[in-house]
Amino acid sequence: MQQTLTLHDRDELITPLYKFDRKFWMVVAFLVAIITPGMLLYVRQLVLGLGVTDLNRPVFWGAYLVNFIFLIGISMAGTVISAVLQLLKVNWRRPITRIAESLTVFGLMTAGLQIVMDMGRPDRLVNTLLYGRLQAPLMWDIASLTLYLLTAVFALYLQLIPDIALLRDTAPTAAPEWRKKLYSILSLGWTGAKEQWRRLEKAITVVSVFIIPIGISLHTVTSWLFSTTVQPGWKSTILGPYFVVGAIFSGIGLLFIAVSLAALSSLALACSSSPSHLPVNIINTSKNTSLKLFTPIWAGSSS
Amino acid sequence: MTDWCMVIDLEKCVACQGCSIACRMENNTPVVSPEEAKNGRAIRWNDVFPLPVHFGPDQGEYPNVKMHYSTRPCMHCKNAPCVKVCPVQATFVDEEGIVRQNYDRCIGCRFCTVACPYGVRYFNWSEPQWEETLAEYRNPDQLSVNGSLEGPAVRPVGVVEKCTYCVHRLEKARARAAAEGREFRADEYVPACVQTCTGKARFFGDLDDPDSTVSQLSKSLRATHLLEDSGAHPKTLYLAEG
Repeated sequence: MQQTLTLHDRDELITPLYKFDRKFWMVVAFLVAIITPGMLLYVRQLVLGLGVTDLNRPVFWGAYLVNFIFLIGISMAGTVISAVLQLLKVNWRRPITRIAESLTVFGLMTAGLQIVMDMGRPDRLVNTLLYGRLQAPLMWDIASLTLYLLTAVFALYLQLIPDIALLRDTAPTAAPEWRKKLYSILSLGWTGAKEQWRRLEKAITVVSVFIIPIGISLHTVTSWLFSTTVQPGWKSTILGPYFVVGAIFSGIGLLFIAVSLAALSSLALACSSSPSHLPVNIINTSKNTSLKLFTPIWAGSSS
Repeated sequence: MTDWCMVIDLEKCVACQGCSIACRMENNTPVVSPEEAKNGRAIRWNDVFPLPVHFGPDQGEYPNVKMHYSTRPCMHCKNAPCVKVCPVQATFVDEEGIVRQNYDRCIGCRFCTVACPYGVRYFNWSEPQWEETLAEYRNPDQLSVNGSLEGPAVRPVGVVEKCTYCVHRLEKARARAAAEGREFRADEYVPACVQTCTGKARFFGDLDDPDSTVSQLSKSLRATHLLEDSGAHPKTLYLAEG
């Protein structure tokens, strides 16, 4: 029982994957315009050393580490939130989970990149594997981040299997051969049978159970990484819970922004497979609930 | 087992900064421009600095004021925080109690610089440079252990460096004793700062040997450590000003 697409849906969903219109190239050009100067400046830092940043003594860690904390904070949104929704069997989660999990994966990738940029010798990154010492706080972070990233990618992939199968079945004849092959490998022989759906749901639930402690460990580990130093203001055990709560709060904030943008452009949600749920209503309801839930926590922690 | 230790008598110290210069010349620490130094980029393995002065009756009246100075090499802690946080074992305590740094392995994450309570670890923010002919007078010594750079040869950009009690001098003294076919004696090895000290305020030796000068001095009532409550168990001893 494979899902069938209306002609309109096919135009909206499948065609843009094979035909890139002008809007797409404009977005690409815009992003390249942002990335290129950044790349050039990073090469400059590689050549001249970290002295080109405004880091000094005693400010050994600066904007890079702030970015790292920010990015892993917002990455909490996706996978952990969608895992919680999955375990609570919330009905309106489906349109949101995919956006949330992509936020996690891309957030974590960028976060890892921040650490590499902050290193004085990124060419020696492999030393952490060759001579790694698990008692060192930085190794906790590397282990935790890698595990969380792999689990998040896996969770996202599980959710995507039915869609990849859909892409495999609806690929136009003119599509390049490698893409057809890629889709048929990645869809793992998905036919949409009832048994397959049942097993997929089970697998997603299992991953959801695992991902919550991993996500929380990443945030506590990162905060206690700061606590192991002797810098004034960092040496505190409260940082662990503080980071987790902050991550949930800021993560959900980013999720709302992303979901609202998606709803506004009516890209993903307007033609989702469950059109009975009005996306805008979902957003408003969940936003209100979460704001009611989190505002007291936030206000309480700052007072 | 040998346990190398330095004792600094602050009563004798005249704050001439000779130790800083000797250290710089011995260990090839790069020179930075005044602007960079103002920005906190200067590398001072062995710093001499005035202690904060609280003006009061005990400081005397002008012109008979009393200034206090201190000097600070690496403490070579027994429970070194920098060793514990290093993710690649680039810094380590060797069996003779010296905290050493492997410049070929350091990844430049600067965790040790943040963890050190004494701030004795320095990061190479830019390519090391020397003014005019100063580069010709660099110390040619080089210490490589298992093919890894440790000694005073110029460190590459992006790694952390620190005071090593001039560990290459220890290796040299050992090699000399071996070449002459005799036992190595503990008094054959002193770091450059100890050798040059104008007021003879610095002592160096084996803390495990009960007859050595340093273990005698460590029993002094004036003997004290810097920030003993840091939990790092610092080793470098100070004899407090009376």
